[in-house]
Amino acid sequence: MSIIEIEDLVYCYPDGTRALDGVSFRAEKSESLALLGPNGAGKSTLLLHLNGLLHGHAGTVKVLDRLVEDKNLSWLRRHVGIVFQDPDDQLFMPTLAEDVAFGPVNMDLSKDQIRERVNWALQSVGLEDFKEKGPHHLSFGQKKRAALATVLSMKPDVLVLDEPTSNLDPRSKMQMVHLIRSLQESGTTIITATHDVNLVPYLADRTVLLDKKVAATGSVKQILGDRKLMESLGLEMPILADVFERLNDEGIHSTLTPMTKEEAVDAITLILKKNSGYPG
Amino acid sequence: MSHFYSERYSRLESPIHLWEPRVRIISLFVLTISLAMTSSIRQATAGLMISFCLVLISRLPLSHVVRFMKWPAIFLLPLAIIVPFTAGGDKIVMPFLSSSDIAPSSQGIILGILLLTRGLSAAIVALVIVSTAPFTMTIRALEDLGLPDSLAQLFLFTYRYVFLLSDQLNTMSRSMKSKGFVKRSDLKTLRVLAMVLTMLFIRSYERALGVYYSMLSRGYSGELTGSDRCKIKCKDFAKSLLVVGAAFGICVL
Repeated sequence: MSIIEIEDLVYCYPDGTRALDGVSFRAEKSESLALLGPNGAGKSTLLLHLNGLLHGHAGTVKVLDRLVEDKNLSWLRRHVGIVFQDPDDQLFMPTLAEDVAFGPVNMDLSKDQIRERVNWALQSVGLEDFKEKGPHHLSFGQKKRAALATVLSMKPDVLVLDEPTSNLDPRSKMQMVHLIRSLQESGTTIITATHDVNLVPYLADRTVLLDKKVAATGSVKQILGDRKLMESLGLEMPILADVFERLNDEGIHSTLTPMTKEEAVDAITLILKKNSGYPG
Repeated sequence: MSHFYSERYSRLESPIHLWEPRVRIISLFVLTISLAMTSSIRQATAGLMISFCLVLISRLPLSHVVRFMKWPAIFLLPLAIIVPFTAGGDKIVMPFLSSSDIAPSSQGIILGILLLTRGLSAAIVALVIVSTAPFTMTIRALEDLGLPDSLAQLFLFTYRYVFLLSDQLNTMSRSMKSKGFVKRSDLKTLRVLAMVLTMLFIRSYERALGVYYSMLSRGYSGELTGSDRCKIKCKDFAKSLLVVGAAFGICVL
């Protein structure tokens, strides 16, 4: 049983524009999936279907083998947590502690359980010292982490992230990536919508390319390494993969296309050894 | 807009700050009513002195009080100056005034002073109510005292997001100036400002939708859960007794 099953999902905006045109894909437990696509591909719209904020005009969405419908929205929202792109939309209580407690309180947990979850969530994102601060006292990067904490405290089985690294500086981006991977390691299924193709190899195991419908799905290397496929959707390959593909075309590099810095260093070391007797 | 300026002194540790919010609001409200009903200079002066005592006890900086009080003073001073000339009563003969019709009356002067002192006292007490607790705590206390839940949520969210809207307005204004826009008293300027306001409304609607989705995603079902309420202690009642006693004392002076 897949944790998320979407079959032939169709959704139209109120003005009649088709945002999703028969989307089908699955996500497995503890998997980290990246949802890639150009602007207007329907990524954010698709994510809103996962916890019943939007309902498709055709097709089905199942979470943990239960159909997403009005009668089980309360159950659904305990199991699927969405972190939206703008953190200010998610930090609406006077203090961070109250924001992070908002979800557990609505789950009717005891005061002790709520306190424990709030502390755990804030520690997970490194904001335990900001409990009594208001959202206006936080930097943008802190707000992004705080927004994640507000969903983490509900301990969802599926964590859906809409552009989690947008507008973050490089260090904050990598901190966010490490945090997401550690959540995956603890058993949470992660679905991330992102434009940042360079981060996808660090963030995800599998990629779904979306342009109103699923254009392709496969491993990160398989999808991001396919220049023609990426360019057909107005996307670019990760810069490292792009460079090594060009070296491949020149006959300089012939092994697997690296996607991460570490893989690239190994590949360059190999090229140098081969070409100039570099001892490494 | 000065972000959260009014909350700068909301976390001091004076007896007023440490007063349980609900009891504080009710007691100071009773005092405000009493101040507004003073009918003699003696009562009004006593009320003003009590208001100043509250400011001293609350340890609010005098500069903060003066800065706030200029606004009620701007409203009340003209009234206090005009009323002596418009109220009826025994006209005071003034050598430099040729006609007694435009001379002030003694009753008018008393009324003017009364208006000024009553207004200033009530404004000072209102400032103490607002400045001695975070805004959200005050709204929560009002909710406990009967403010409808939907109104309380309206106030809380407006307060949370009005500064974001203000920032957006500033950004849009900077953007317009960068493109050479100059505000003039003409139709073109009005049209541009109307469009800017429209965009602001649209953005605030989109923001509201985003916040609503976020709340729904975290199990919101119409009620805003709050932090634990403070317990009312004996010293809170003692403070109330003092303030309400002072309020009644003013009335019988």
